[in-house]
Parts: sequence; structure tokens; C-alpha cells
Amino acid sequence: MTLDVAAEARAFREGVAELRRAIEAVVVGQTDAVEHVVVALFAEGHVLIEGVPGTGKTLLVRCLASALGVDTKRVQFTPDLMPSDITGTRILVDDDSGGRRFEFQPGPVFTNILLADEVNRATPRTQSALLQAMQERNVTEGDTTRALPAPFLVLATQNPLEMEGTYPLPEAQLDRFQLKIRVPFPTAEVMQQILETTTAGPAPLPEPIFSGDDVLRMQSLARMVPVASTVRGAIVRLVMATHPTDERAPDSVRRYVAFGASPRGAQAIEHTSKVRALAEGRLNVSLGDVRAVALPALRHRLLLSFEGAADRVETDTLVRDVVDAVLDA
Amino acid sequence: MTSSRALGDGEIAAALRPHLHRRRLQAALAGLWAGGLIGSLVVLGLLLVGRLVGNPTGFLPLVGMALTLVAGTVVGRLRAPGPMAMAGEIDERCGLHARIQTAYELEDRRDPSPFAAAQRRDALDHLPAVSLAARREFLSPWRLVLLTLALGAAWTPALLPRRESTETHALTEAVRDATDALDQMSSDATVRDLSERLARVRSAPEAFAALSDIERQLASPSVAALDAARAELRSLSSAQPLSDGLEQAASNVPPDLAQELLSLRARLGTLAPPPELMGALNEVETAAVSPDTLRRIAHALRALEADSSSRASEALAAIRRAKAAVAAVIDPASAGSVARTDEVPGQESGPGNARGAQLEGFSSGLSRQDTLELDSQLLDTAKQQRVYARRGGEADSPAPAMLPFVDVVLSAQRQADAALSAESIPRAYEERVRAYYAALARITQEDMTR
Repeated sequence: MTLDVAAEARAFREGVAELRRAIEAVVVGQTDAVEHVVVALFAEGHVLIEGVPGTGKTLLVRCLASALGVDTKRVQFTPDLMPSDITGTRILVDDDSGGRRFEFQPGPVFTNILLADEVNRATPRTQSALLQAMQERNVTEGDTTRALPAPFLVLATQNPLEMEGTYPLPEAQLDRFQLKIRVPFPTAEVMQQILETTTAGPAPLPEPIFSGDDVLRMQSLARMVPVASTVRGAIVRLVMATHPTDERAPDSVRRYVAFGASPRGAQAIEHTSKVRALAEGRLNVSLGDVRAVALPALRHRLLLSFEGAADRVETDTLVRDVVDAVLDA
Repeated sequence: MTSSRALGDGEIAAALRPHLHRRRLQAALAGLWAGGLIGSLVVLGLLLVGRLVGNPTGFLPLVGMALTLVAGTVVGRLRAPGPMAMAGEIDERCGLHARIQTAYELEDRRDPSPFAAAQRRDALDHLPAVSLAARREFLSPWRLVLLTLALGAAWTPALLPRRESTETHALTEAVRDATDALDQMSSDATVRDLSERLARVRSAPEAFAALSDIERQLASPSVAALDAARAELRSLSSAQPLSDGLEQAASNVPPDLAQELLSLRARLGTLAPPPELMGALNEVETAAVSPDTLRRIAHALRALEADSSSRASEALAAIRRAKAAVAAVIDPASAGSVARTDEVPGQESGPGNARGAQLEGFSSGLSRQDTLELDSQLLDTAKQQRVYARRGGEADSPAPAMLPFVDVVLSAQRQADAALSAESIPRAYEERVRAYYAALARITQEDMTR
């Protein structure tokens, strides 16, 4: 069957726009966060959402899950959460012949959208339970590896304020999140809208717009978007410039960064740029797409040096410096 | 988003071609503008240099302008972008978000996927067409106006007179005045030769040397005659009749004086003297001179010499004016002054001897001293003796002068310094004179040390 790219692309653009409208009708005033979550969905990436309590992080994830019409699970991460509580465990069950056998009881990770709420409250051991699932989209239990359903998306939230009793995500875990989205505190106007839409009753979640197959097809289409060598070169330069040893690295990076973004950072930028291009109605990636996704794709991949941590340097500032140095040069 | 028409191979490249041609033309024109502006500066410089110090090749500004225009055009054309850079430019200029670059790359690597084809179609749909109106953009009128103004400003020095033409004009004018004066003065062969020599000069130094020689040749006999006349007048007793002087002269005419008398007669002959004068001169030669004859000769010569001396004076004045003009050409600092230095060491053919003041006295005194000329001719014996005596040393002393060399040099240097300060002389020549005497002084000092 011949792929009607033009029609597919048009459907993609319209579908994304409709999905965003549906979410933004409920999650008020978080346009950028909504956009990036949607982009990450079709870019087959996982998202770490960071924000102070009450800014709609969980609501955003619930709206997305509702609009997609796919299976959704939620795990509230706590210090006593065990890895098997996420991946699943073997339990002893009676079979039809009267005997007993171990049967794998899948954990909540076996879903399409996993909401890992307050992921930094679980111990590193438990956080690591997500590593294989997020990267390989399967879970190994004993000698059996089980594939996760597709599409599979982890949406994790964390609170940047309450650091007491939390376990910051290790670098390897952070690197597996395609985007890290910061949900800003709402403005006064936005807060008024929030009050109007939430105090009268429970906010109605959006009706399903896509099926899981639709999402898979759209993810597949997004992968096909071509990238010009100049744009790809810019992505590579961008990621290389996050390393303090790179000649293009700005002074702030040289001073405050101990280690820059990994190749996953470049993959994240290119992949999410493709989705953004399609969502903008284009069949190719532009530097504008790269610029738009660079910050959420790189901000969690920079490992600050001692001086950077001591000076409480924001990685957002460093990434902006890199973008300015590379894309505006 | 895209049209449904089929996409052929190389369609992106074909669509880019008009843009490339346009961009190359634009780059070449930009190079042409830049070359024109640089060429204007080059032309301005060359013309100014040509006006200030002389330009041997008048076509150099034209060649410079042509070369800069060609170089600018070629460099501009070479700096035009290639297809990929052109695609990037179009994307940037038209806000196409890398559509054209991506499409060009997909076509270049012959990507057969449906998505690549759709992307190329999308790029083609967005690629703006190049129309004739768009071509007019880079034929910007303000650039033409600017270039025209620059060219006009650059050629402005062409309106100024060239240094060569100024020199040539001044030289030609001075030489023409001098030759006219010489021609009017006499048709004598010597004078004609001088006139022809002047007419042949090609440079200011050559003209200056020729005029100095002519001035000396014109002035020397007359000055010598005047000096002699004055000397003889002083030597004659007021009570002594002229006839006695004549008889004295006739009885002791040395061969040189006889030759000079013959020359005088020949010179006067060119001035068409009356027959009685020629007869009187013949009588002088044969020593058959009477007082009446002398009076007739004096009367006739008075009129004749008045006329000839007047013309000689005019010729001298013309020669000096010509010299002043030529000196101004050689050294503009001396413009307006009257160069009266007869000779400059190394520049002229004759021996050096400044006598401008004497010449001026001569030219103003000839008309009223005409009778003394006759006396000097008649009483030349004593003068000849003095002249002979001077050859060996002081006047009236047959022995050669034995003055110390240092005194002679210092005396000559003082005289030269006085002449340099009293006269208007081209600065270059002044320096050469001073250098000459400085070298002499150095040699003298070394000799004294030894």
C-alpha cells in the first residue's frame, strides 16, 4: 500500500493540534509543557516533569492518558516502594490440575502510559527498576524478558522543593528521559482561570482522540521526517558544545559543567524536532525546531561541576548559552 | 501542504538554477560595484599623481579602472554560492525552514522513499519563482547613481591642467617669446643658430641651459664693448681730441683688433648700414681716417647702434623672461622671480660666471652710451693690452698671480654667496652651488691639515 505522506502529515498536524487543544482545555496556562509532552509522546520518549505542588503535573498526565484512550497506570513513588512493585513479581497460583505453579504477575509498568508520581521519593534501587523498561521497552524477570505494550511512555513527576527524604535521580536514569519539562508556577491570570475551571466541580477529562495504533502510526511517520545535513550538523554542534572541552563551548559551560550531554541528547533533539516539524505542517526539520526543543532535551543532561553546584547555576541558563553560541553564531 | 503532481529527477536542481543564475549575476554585479568604487579611488589617485608629479602614461587611469572592474566582477562571481548554499540562502530569505536544503539533499542522494518525494514536492511548492521583476531588484538605481558619482568624482582631477602640459605650455611660450625676440633682433647667422637651437629644446633644463648660453652670447660682446668704452673714456684726457685717439689706435692696431673691426663691420652690415658708414669703416681699416670721417661714423653709428642695442636689449629681456619662466617650471618656488643666473654648474655648456647685475646695467646704459661704443672701438689698443695682461694674473702685471688657494676659494665662495642671496635662483641650483663650495672647503681643509 502506498503511503500518502501528504495526507498522513496533514492528519498528524491536525491530530496533534486537536490533542493539544483538548489537554489545554483542562490544563490551563501550561502551553509549553503541553506541547513538549505531546511532542515526546510521538517521539517515543519519556518525560520528566518538574514543578512545585499544585501546578497540574499529574493532571497533565491524566489528561494525556485520557485523550489517547490507552491503558494508563499510576505509581506513587515512596521510599518503601520495591522494584517488584513496578515491574511485577512471581506469585504462587493453583492451576487447573490441582497443582501449584509460579505465575508472573505484571507490575504497573506493563501499560501504555505510566505515571511515576514523585519519582525522586523512591530509593535508587526502585528507580533503577525503570531503567530497562524505559530504554529497551521490556522487563526481564528471572530468565524471562517480557516486552512492554506499545506505545509505552513514562511520565514522571518530581518536586524540586522538598528535597528532604528524596533520592535525586542518577545520571543514567535522567539520561533516559527524552525531555525534562519544567511546569512554571501560574500567573495571576492563569490562576483565575484555574479557579474557574476547577472549583465548580471535577475537571472533565478529554475524550479519547487517538487509539494506541494511531499513536504508533504517527510515531512511525515522525521517524521518517528527513533532516538536512546542515540541521543535523547544528544538532551535533549543539550537543558537543555542552562539553566543557569543546572549542565551541561557551565560557559558562567551561566553568560550570563537569560533563555534557550524551549522544542520547542529540537523539532526543533530532527525534523531537521531527515531531515538532510535522506538527508545524512541515516535512523536514528546521533549525527553529532544534532551537525549540533544545532546552527540554538538554537541561537534565548537564552534570554540573563543584563550582556550578556551589554557585547554584541553573542548567537552563547554560543550555541557553550553548544554543546562543551555536545556533546564533 | 503539497501538490499531487509527479516529481521528476533533478527537479529541485532545475528549480534552483534560475536562483543560482540570479545570485551569480547579483554577486558579479556586487563585485562590479565594489570594483567600480575601488577603481574610482585608483583613478583618483592616478590622476592626482599625474597632475602633481607628472604621468608618463595617460591611459593608466583607464587601464586601472578597467582592471578593477574586471577583477571585482570576477571575484564577485567566484564568491557566489553553490547550489547547497543557495538553497540555504533561499530558506533563510523566504523563511522556508530548511525546506529547500532538505529537498536538495534528498534529491542529491536519490532517496526513493515516499516521504522524501513528498518533502521535495513540498519544497518545490514553496520555492519562489524568479520573475523579471525580481531581476530588477539588484539593478538598484541608487548603486548606479553612486557609481556614477564616484566615477565623476574620480575623474575630476582630469579637469585640472597636467603638470606636463603646464610645463610644456610655459616652456613653449617662453621659447617662442625668446626666439621671436631673437628673430626680431637680427637675422645674423649666429643669432639664427641660437634661435634654431632654442626651437629644438625639449625639456626645461635644456631650455634653461640654452637660454643661459644665448644670454651670455648676446650680452658678452656688448658688455665687453661697454666695459672697454668706459675704460677708454676714463683713460682719455678730456683735452685729447678724438682724432688723436683714432690715429693712435690706427697706428697700433693689433691683429685681434683688426679682426674685431672686421667683425663689427660685418655685423653692422647685416643691419643694412648706409653706404657712407661702410665707406667710413673702410677708411678706418685703411687708417685713412679724418676727424670729419670720425664724426660721420659716430653719427651714423649712434643711430644704428641705438636701434640695434634697443633690439638687443629687448632680446635680452625676452631671454631673461623666458629663463624666469623656465626656472619656474623647474622649481615652482622660484615662480614670479627673475632668474638671472647665467649659468649653473653642470647644467650649461659654457663656463660659469654670474653677471646679472652687469647685464642689467648694460641694457639700461647702452642707449645713452652709444658714442662711447665708438670710442671704445677706436681706442681698443689699451684695452687689448689689459686683456692680454689679465690672462696671466692681475691687470697691468705680466707675471701670473700667486694667491693662496684658500683665499681664492673663500673669495669665490663669498662672491657666490652674495650672488645667491641677491639673485632669484632655483633652489636646486642654489644647493648645488653651495654643495660645490662646501666640497671645495672640505678639500682645502684636508690640504691644510696635511
